[in-house]
Amino acid sequence: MERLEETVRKFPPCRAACPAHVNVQAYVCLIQMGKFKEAVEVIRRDLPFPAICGRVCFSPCEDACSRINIDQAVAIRSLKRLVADIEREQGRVRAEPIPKRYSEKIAIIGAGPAGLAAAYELAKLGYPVTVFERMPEPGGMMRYCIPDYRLERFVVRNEIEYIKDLGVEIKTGVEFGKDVTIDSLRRDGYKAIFIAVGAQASAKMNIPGEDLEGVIHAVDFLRALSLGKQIDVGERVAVIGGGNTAIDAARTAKRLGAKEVMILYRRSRQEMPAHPWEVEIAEKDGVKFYFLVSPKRIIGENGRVKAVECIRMRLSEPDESGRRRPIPIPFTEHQYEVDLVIPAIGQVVETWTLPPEIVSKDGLIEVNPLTMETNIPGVFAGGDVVSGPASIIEAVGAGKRAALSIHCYLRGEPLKRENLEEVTWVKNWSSLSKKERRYESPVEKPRLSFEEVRAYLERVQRAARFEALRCLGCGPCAECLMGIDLCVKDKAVVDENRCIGCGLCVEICPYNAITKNENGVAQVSEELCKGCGTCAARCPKEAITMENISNERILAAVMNAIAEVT
Amino acid sequence: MSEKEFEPIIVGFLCNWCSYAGADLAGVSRIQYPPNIRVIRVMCSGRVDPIFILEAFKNGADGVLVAGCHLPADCHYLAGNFKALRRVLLLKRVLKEFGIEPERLWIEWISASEGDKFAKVVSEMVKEIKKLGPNPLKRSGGK
Repeated sequence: MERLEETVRKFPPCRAACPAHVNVQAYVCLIQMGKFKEAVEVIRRDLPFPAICGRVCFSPCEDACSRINIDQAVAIRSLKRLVADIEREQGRVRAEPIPKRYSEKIAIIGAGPAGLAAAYELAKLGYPVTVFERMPEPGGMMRYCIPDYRLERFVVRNEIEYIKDLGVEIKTGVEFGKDVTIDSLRRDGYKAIFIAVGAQASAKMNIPGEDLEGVIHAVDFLRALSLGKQIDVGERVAVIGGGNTAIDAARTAKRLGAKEVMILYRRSRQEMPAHPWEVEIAEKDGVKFYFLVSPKRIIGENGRVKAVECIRMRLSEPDESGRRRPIPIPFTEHQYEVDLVIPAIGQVVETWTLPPEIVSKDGLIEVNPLTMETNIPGVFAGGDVVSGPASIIEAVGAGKRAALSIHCYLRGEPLKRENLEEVTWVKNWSSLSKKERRYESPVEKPRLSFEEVRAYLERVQRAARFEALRCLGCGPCAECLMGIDLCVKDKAVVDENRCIGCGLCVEICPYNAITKNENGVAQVSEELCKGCGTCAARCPKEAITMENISNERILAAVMNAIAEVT
Repeated sequence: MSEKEFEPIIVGFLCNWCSYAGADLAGVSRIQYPPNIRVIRVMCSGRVDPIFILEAFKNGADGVLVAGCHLPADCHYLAGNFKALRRVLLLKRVLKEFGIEPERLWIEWISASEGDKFAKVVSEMVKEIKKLGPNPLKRSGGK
């Protein structure tokens, strides 16, 4: 047998793939044991939004899951949602305020996922944190631009209340650049500022007719609805673009009563940036997809939208970057009669609200990639405003890293590279084939009467334990640190008087935890030993035994097993 | 005693991560399997010293099952299952010298989600060992 690649303990693939490095294996392992409450606690160590991410995360962990090689990925997101929901069944979770250990005040601009995650981490470290938010309610895109059939408003509100419980102050209705500026915050005594305003403005298509009545950009459309405004979608709606926002806008329009909703996308289905499962759901909702069409102009009548004129496209051969560019086919103009046009071709940062010296020429904020500091000392930035439009979990990851960097900055410590270095997984799974498959959510909640809920929950909890048991546990120990009896760490112990120094244990240890000391006697490194006991079984002189599951204990168990019946 | 059907005693060494969880799942899912197995949890199938197996046979076990994570790469300790396999294969040869049929010693790979496989393995093992009859060492009084 070939010797497996020598590896030190690293993260399992799911945890490594998560931008916020949530300890997936640990909470899945706790769900296996039915310890749902502890599972949420483990999630909260890295992520303040278990219920939100349990609903709308795009779950890169599932893409990385090595179970895919056997059948399908473990339904990690659904498990997360379930434990968060079970916790909420017992009423809103309250957190104890964290005592302030440091006096430096920190200002965070923008109460979206990046800002709130940074506030959460800094509050846990013991800093007084104030979050400034322009909108009447905190939550950013989670609150205003994800339609509430995907993410209920009270879920967002609950998770933010939890962060507030920790002692984070959130001031809403305060606009950056108008009500507060970097200088005014400095004057008010804030020692560090984290800008996480996101990418709120919609990108323009730059075609004639874009300012007609009846053209509303997707984020503005979703935001207006969240603010409670009424929008008449009419009979026929055209959504332009192929991203997740386009899908959300199309499904929302369908729900608002549009008879026909079409998505116009200039490339083909394979190139769509939207997640394939989202596209599938939209198709189930009855949204029509037209591929390889690009709008040329919007035709109006009396100042209102009447139709979209489109041109057919074909895809070029892949260029050197591997992308296939759409090329218009001449004389293929055609029109779609519509009442509402929703362009959803991307979001951009509102650069005009930001100090001009930190804005890069791409229209984003330029930061040091390691420290996330802008070129104004003490001002940090992260999330969509730095990366361009991305996801909640990536924003949380950015917020966490920024929090660590701000902590190091305020304490005058150098930021260690290894804290942020990309992590890899335990084994080299890349050698195995990877099937692109995901597990359908095993838990979805129907509307139930009050009495049914109990029975339903019991059934769901059983289903969840089954699902969690599919986890292969790629990391040897998930380090849930919950001190569960089952997982008492075992350790090899050497009887120095018996050891003959043959070195077989040194050879066999999968973690190179055993070395020979100067006398030739085996020594076990407490740090590296995982307690598998392979060395104890290999030792010819019985000089090694395990602390917990010792040779004597196993032999006694053997005797017991036989004695029980005879 | 002869009027009663022979019920073999099987000692099962199950690894903590896969097979023990698999056995747990069999229990949780209420899959029926013969009660002849006595389960001993070890951290890894590679933890099973041949001495444990010999002790079990010496003291009258009719069969021994070593169960671990699937080959090649499911082991939580990288390759403990391979080590267990090597030892068991070698031990099977030695057992013949002691007058114990090597068919009494089984090694199986059962993952945490294979509760049904655990039940199947146990039922099959009981069936096979019933064919073999009681442990020959027990018949000769453990000599």
